[in-house]
Amino acid sequence: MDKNEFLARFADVIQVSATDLTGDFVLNADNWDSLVHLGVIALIDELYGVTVPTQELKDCSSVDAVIGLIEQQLEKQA
Amino acid sequence: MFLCGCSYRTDRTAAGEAGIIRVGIDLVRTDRFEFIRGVGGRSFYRRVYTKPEQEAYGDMLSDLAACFAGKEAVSKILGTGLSLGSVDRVSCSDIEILYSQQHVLLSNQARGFAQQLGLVDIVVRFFVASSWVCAIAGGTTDIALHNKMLECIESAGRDVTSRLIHSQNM
Repeated sequence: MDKNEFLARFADVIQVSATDLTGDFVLNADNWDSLVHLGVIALIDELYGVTVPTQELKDCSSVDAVIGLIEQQLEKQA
Repeated sequence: MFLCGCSYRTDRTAAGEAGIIRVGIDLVRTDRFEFIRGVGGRSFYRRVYTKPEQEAYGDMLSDLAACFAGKEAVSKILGTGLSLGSVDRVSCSDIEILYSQQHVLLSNQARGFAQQLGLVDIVVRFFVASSWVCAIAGGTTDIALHNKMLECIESAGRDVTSRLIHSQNM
């Protein structure tokens, strides 16, 4: 997966600058609500053609965790 | 401002137990919703809205945002929250809200959770304040509590609306 493309779009969703979005960027109540979860699930579907489970995505507390979840789903699909 | 309301009612009545009213609320900022919808693209639109909702609302932002908030509010009275297609959870498309026809249609997991909770009457009301849409859903196990439930919802709606207006004027 192209992490840079994902990070650029993901930064838009959570309304931060892409340059501030490092792997350990913390996802919390201020930037990680239910509308964002659904938007990110749809974004991942658009970019990679996989559906990440909603609860597992909600449980992600950092950007690295989200990327790990996507990679996990891509591996399952392979 | 009161926008409109939708309701879902079964013919079944709960017997023997004291009735329960469950209330769920969701707030969506329309500009934020429009942005997320754009990022999620067609996948978001296709997965969040049923075919009849897509036909009814087309590309009307305020209606799409209100419908989404309504689904969230209903999912909260079901105690589940929304997902985009997980088989073990309530999916967005399991809750259909067509307020032109004044109805909430539950299917699949949503219907199952409502039955487990004994809900026989579900109502959604929408309130608009500035750039916010507020949806408040109520569900009861006893149809006799319908009017009481509406009172709760409309009281909560007035409260939320006035707080939103107040916060934006500060």
